[in-house]
Amino acid sequence: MATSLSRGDVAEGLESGDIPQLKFASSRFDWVQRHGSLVFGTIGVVLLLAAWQICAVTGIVDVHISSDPSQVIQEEITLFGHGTILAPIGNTAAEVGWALAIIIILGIPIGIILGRLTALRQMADPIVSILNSVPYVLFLPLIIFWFGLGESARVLVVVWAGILPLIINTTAGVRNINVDYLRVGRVFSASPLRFFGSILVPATMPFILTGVRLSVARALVGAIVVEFFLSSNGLGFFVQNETSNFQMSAAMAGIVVMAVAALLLTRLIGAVEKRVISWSQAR
Amino acid sequence: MPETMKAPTAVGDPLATPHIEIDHLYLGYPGKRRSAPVIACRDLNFTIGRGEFVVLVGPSGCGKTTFLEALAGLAQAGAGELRIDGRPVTGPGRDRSLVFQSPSLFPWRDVYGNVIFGYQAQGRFDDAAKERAKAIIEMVGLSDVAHRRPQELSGGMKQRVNLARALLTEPRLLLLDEPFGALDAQTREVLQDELVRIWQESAMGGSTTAVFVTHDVREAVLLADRVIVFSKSPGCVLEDILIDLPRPRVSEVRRSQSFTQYEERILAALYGRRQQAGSSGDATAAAWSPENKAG
Repeated sequence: MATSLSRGDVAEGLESGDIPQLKFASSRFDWVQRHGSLVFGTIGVVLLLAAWQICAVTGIVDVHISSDPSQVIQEEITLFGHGTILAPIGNTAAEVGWALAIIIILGIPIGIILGRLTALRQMADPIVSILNSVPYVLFLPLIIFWFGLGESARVLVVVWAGILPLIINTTAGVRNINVDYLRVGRVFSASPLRFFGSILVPATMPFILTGVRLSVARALVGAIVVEFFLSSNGLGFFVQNETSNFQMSAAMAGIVVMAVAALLLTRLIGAVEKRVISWSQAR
Repeated sequence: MPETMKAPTAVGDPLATPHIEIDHLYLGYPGKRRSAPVIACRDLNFTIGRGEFVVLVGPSGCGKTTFLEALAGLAQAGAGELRIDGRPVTGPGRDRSLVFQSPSLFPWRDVYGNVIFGYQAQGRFDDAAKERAKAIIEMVGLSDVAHRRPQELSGGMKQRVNLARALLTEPRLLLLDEPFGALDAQTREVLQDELVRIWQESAMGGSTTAVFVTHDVREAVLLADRVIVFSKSPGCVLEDILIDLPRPRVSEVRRSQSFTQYEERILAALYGRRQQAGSSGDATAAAWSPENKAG
């Protein structure tokens, strides 16, 4: 049975005694190869930080304007130690969290419906293009006018900023389903529910996850922009405030927190992709 | 037609009507931009009996796949009527299953998951079916890779999965659309032999009707109880040949004298068409010659 054929132990069809040391068996560098993006990504970041530090120490750049990594680390310790940065982080996280939940809950069904219903898609097409290509920042004054400066107005802007890539990708995914899959469904008289769950959703999943990835990036930008414009809390406001007070290290510390959060979110989506759509990446 | 008169009363009496009745059937599809509709098959007129293994042979693009799709319920009759068990075909049904030309497997399901899909989709999957699925996977020789994904399989293995998926639903009418056409010559021969074996060993030979489409004349003779030769597009029946080779057939039957005679008779039917059609017929000959399988 297939379970006995676990890969990596013994080449298929051979007894363990038969085979010599194989050149393509796992090597010492296997770990490095498998985690290549992590290893070399870390090296890249470390090199950049080192260059920054050297520039600051040697006086190529002015430390008062640019800060430097060691000061940022100190600032980070102070900020987390006193807890002053926790409230801004919490605020931004809540904003982005709510917005992403709404984006996913609304964006995927809207995308699927637009993908399946041609007339509706043709009707929505110009609207979607306009919303996608006209910068949402343009609408900020209007949104403030309509919804005020509260939490819900901010979440609305983040949703606006982030939902379109998910809708567009999901629609494209539904429209690009392999015709063969549809024929299999029809020949075996699959019910609409079975068709939806067993063919449409899995076949579209790679497109949906790409959409989510793009949406997360756009939503993070949206969250920071909205805090610049209409907030008195959150990370965006924190960085803006510290910069205007000439506290460069604190501002940089805020940016680092944001960067780490963005990185973690991207890695999370990557992990989901690896689990859910390994079949589409294996090719 | 007498069948037409008999049909209404014969429903429910499986012996009274042939399994499939094709009655002055025209198939095709709408032309693009208001041009005339494209006719794929014209005036098809024959019946297929219960338990028969019928192979349709014809040049590429002669409408034999369209005919198979009509049997599967994927294509509509343009004129005339197509009846299964005395009832006009209105759409796909549980009594039929199709082995697709391309494997059409779901890459997100493993071999086992793909094999059970048809049965699941028909909403009759249960514990007994799990055992039958395993038995069928065993029968097509895929037990060792039952939990592999299709992307890890060779072309021949994929078509075995495609076949197993169709067999699991226990169809009364099994439709096969050039299932071995895209395989290399060796793999094709192995799978032909296996299909013959499965057909003869399982109870299917008696209760199931099979309609197999191909442009490979030798494949047709090996598999068929009866070969129907289609003309070039728009397809109509050129000749209807009973293959009276003994069953159970084995691989060696390919080298027997009567096998060759049947082969030549089918080729003659196709070549005869070329002579009648004059110069335009050369393209037809090229389309189904054994060297040109890719089309």
